Amino acid sequence: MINKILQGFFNLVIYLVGIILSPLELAINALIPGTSDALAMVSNFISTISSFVTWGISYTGLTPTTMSIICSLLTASVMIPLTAHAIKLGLKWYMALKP
Amino acid sequence: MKKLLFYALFISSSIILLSPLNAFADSYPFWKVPYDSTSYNHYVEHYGHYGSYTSGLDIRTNYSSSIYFQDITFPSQTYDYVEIPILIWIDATNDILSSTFMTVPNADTLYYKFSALIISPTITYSNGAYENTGICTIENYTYNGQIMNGVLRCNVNRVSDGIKKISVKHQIDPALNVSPTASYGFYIGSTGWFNLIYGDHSTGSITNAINSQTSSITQAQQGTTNAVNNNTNAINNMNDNINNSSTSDANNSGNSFFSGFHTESFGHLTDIVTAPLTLFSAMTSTTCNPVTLNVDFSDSTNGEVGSKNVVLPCGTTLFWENSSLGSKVSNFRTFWNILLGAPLIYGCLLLLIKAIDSALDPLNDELITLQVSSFDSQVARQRKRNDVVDESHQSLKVGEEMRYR
Repeated sequence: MINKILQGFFNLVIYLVGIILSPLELAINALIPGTSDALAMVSNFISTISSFVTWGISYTGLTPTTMSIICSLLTASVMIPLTAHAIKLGLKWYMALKP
Repeated sequence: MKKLLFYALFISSSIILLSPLNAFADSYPFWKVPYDSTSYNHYVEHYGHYGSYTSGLDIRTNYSSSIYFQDITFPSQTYDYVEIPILIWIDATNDILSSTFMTVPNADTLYYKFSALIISPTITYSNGAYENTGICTIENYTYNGQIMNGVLRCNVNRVSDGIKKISVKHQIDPALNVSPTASYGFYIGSTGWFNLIYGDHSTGSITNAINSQTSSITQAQQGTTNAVNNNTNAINNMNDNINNSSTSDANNSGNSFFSGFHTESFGHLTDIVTAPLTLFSAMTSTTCNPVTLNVDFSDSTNGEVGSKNVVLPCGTTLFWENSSLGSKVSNFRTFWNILLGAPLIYGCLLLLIKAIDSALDPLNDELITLQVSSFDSQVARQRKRNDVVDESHQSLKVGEEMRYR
């Protein structure tokens, strides 16, 4: 269950980022195709690394449940300060705009 | 800001470093196709039909398995055929084993089982065109138990257009006297790589061609063990999922809610931006695919050059889920997870508590992310506190004024 929520959350964020960046992606492909090729190389490099991550974790012997717990905690560690910062920023704007 | 700069530097340095490598790869003669065989290591999805033991399938009916190729760009070249190492796995119940089909006298019954298979392949190209007559044969097959290893060799003449999928319809010869309700399972899998063959096979390069074929067979045999283990793990995972879904309503709702979000590929820029998420996602993945490395070789004694695929099997296949090592390994894995996982989880909990502490700190107004060096973070925070103390009189004055208002 934890794993599915995490995967769903990651997929959701990737999907939203993809929608936001798609016009920029199209512009790069059309206007500067050389850069697009370079980005493709970096993307392939990252894809290779991600395949090695799964392979490397398989040697640690950690079960998917353990990895899900670790990733959940790491995600929470990143998301809590981000959320707090967003709330503080919102309150700051509210105080500044309040008549 | 620092992290953004680091990320930008990482991307630009990667581009700068990889650009000459790409140019080198294009110009280096050993890297390019030296003679008549190219090994492509691409991700291959394979979907097979798997009948359960109790479903009572008619084994004389057509069932289809497909091998899908994703995002493959082929060099501009006319190819003769494509070779895909495959395995065919038949799982039958005792009623097949005891039927007339399996009681061929004085013969290897498994051989007859496989020889009774009828294979009808179809190649679908990326542009929608397809071929389905007399294009594929199974070469160099061997069989061991319920598994047959072989090389699916298909004639292709439009491969430069890109192959979308190769579908293989399969059935047991209807002419055989087999019980029509006999249950059986059937699966065609590939080992994740394939060869594109072209050029002159009769003169000059015959030694290389033989070496290539030998290498293909060896790799197919090496990959088969991994593929079988992966298939077994996949089936076990499916069973686990079925059990979980039938016992947990929460799991069902989780599946239905999150199944709507797909990781579609929007482009390389998105892939780069979301790389950390991809890595996190890979960390939580339940399946491990063996890593295949394409290694170039050059034999100085006879001047032969070429490339080989080296398959690095997963740790689960080699050790943690290796059934031949007995149950002690699985018992030890539980203990090992506590031994290794507990400190990691403890460290993550400390990070989480630190993050919560930072978020609740009213003096902290900066975006705190995971710090590689905690020392830098502590120094920065101490400086900030000192600045606050220095400005405390002014802040108090402003605060009192606001309070009076």
